[in-house]
Amino acid sequence: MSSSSWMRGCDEGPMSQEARGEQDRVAVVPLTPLDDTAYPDWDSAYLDNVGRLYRLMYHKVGNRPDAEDLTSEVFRAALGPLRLTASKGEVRAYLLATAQTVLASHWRRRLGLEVTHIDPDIELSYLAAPVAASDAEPRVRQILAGLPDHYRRVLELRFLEGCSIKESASAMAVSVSNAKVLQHRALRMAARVAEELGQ
Amino acid sequence: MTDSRVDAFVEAILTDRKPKKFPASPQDSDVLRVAVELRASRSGFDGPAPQFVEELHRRLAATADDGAELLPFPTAGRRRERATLLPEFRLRPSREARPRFSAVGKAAAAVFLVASTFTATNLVGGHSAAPVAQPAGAAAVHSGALLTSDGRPMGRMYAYSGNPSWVFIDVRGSALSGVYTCMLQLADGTSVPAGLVTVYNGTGDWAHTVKVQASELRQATLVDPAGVTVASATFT
Repeated sequence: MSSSSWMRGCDEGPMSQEARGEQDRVAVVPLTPLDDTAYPDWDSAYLDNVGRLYRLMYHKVGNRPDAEDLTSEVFRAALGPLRLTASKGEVRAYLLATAQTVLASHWRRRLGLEVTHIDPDIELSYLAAPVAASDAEPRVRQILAGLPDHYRRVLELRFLEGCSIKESASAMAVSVSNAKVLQHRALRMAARVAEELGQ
Repeated sequence: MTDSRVDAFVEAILTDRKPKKFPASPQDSDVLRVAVELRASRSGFDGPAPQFVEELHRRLAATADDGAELLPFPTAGRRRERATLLPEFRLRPSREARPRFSAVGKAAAAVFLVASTFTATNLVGGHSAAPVAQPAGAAAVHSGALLTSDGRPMGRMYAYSGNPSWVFIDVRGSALSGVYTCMLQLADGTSVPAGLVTVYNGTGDWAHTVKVQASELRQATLVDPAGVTVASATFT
């Protein structure tokens, strides 16, 4: 297995060399001040926040079915108490506080402990930011940079490029079982790197 | 560490499925956290599906119709007038239907659609009396071509005066896809949201009750989530 084989993609998908170059750029998300205007009606409040909240939940659970369920749960829980006399910023803060509780309950039900959590102070700017196409976050690039080449590559192929284990094995010129072992070990090393980096 | 369950959990999120529950250890949690973080950072993530956005809106509306007092309009200024004038603009279920109407008889089709739509709405909400479908006289229906911002036709909008009155939107052959807010402009110059319109691959039909007469409506617009008006129709 050569290091060059690790750099091949499983298809002509999103992680071309050019795309990787894009990911190397440092993304800066400016803080957004609270919006003190009010929503004219519930429809506007819903439409303005459903995408933002869904994206936040997706980033916390990593799959669409759970992100949809949790987004629904937040809106159902917030429906009664929410008053549209509040500003947009206050509405989002309320949704975020609800989301914090909903996500914590989700993890307790699913695994018995919290894997990810929402910090309203940090996430409020995320929720208020204009919707934008996602990109690999700087922290993820830091985690990957802390791994040996073959560990980094298997995680890129599987998590960022969406390759199957078979496609990943083929791209790395290793057997499927070897790719599974590589992924298994790579994730554990990535967890240690992430812990060293801190939250 | 419960390796096989952790691996199964990771495989589930990689294939966009709900992971199964299991009692995780703190070490498992660290691995799963980084797996979620890696997966969520994938480029090309395009946000919620329009079907999900519309369906959740519909379910929330059904909850609202169960009697929850959840959407008081602000009590001062222009919004108070709007609330008095148009209480029906509060969140309520909308129903989509995708029959392929012929070009002839669109107005009649609109009336048929809104009558059946309202029946379906009542099945969900269960409060209002079912309306009686009324024949559509020429004076009862106002319509206008739905045009893009650069003037290209992409369907038609109808307003039907009755008890209740309805608006109906028929989008065809557009470049739109996603969820849009339908804004109605009234004769007195006020502008109010009527609901969410979902367009799939350039096509969509949508109907909604309003508590105004069709003659009071001047214009309808479709506004995208960024607040940009993507289409408009002037009622005649």
